[in-house]
Amino acid sequence: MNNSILRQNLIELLRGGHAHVAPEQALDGLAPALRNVRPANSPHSVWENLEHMRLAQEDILRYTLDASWVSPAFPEGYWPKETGELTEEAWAASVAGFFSDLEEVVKLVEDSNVDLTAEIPHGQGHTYLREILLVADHNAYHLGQIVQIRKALGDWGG
Amino acid sequence: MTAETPHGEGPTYLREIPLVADHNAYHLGQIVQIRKALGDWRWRKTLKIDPNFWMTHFYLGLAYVQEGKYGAAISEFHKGKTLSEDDSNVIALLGYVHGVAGKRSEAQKILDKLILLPKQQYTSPFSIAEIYIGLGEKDRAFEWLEKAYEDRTWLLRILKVEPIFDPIRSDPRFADLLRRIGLAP
Repeated sequence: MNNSILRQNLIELLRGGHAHVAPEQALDGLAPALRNVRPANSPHSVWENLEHMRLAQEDILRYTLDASWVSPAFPEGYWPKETGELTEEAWAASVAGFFSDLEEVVKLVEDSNVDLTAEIPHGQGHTYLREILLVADHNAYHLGQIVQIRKALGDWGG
Repeated sequence: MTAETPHGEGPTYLREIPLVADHNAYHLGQIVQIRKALGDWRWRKTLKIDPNFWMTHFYLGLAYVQEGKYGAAISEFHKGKTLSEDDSNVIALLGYVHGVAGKRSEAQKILDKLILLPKQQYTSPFSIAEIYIGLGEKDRAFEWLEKAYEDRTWLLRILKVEPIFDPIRSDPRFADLLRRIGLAP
């Protein structure tokens, strides 16, 4: 298999923007007052989805890289605690954390020393490739939800 | 997999296949979000776990009422009624939805039956009020809500937020009742 094409395609998938909006676009221009608003019948807000994406991505990335990583309790550890008020700092930390970890996943893909089809040494038969695809897949699903929530809030012009 | 598709303009099979999965994941997320917004997600999941749990049919029926799908609501309330062995709260909503669906004689029959029911089992006056709301008889609804107040029924706790009572929300008697219950803003 041509490794460079595989890596190039995976990075394209992680950064998005081809089959659907990229994470940056999904969050761009979101009114601060609507960041933590749940539309009618929606169990989560945009921020809660973003924070869920960050927590899940962090868990997959750390699990892949660190044998001593302990995953959060499922499912409560993968969602933020319910909060009425979302501070600017908490929002900024979610955004920064998500994109920082995403870039780390991209760096893993770019690292030619890593055989992407090899099993993770401390994993249970999972390959690096599987974990990278899982990040892309999970992010795509919740990006779709974020856009739909923004549409329900009347805050989507994209 | 890494070869270019013969008829394409450069893209490989490897690029196109994950693109399909990625695109599907994005829109699956949207479909689920839309179904949640329509109130058609949680209860359907619960039904898969236990299709014979009467409360699931009860709440699914309420969701259909809010969507204006009265036929579907009647069907769910009927299932809830059978599975609960004639719970009076379910029967009341069956009466209510018949009323809002314009099936007045059916609603009246259910109302008559429910009013007679306390001889065999407890029926909250709140439930009777719900059917009168469905029939558009506001004065009778207030009359039974007053009885519910005197009865101190716990169901009055949902009065402030239950959409069934929207038609009488602007009536001063409603605000007065909420105040007495302790639910006024």
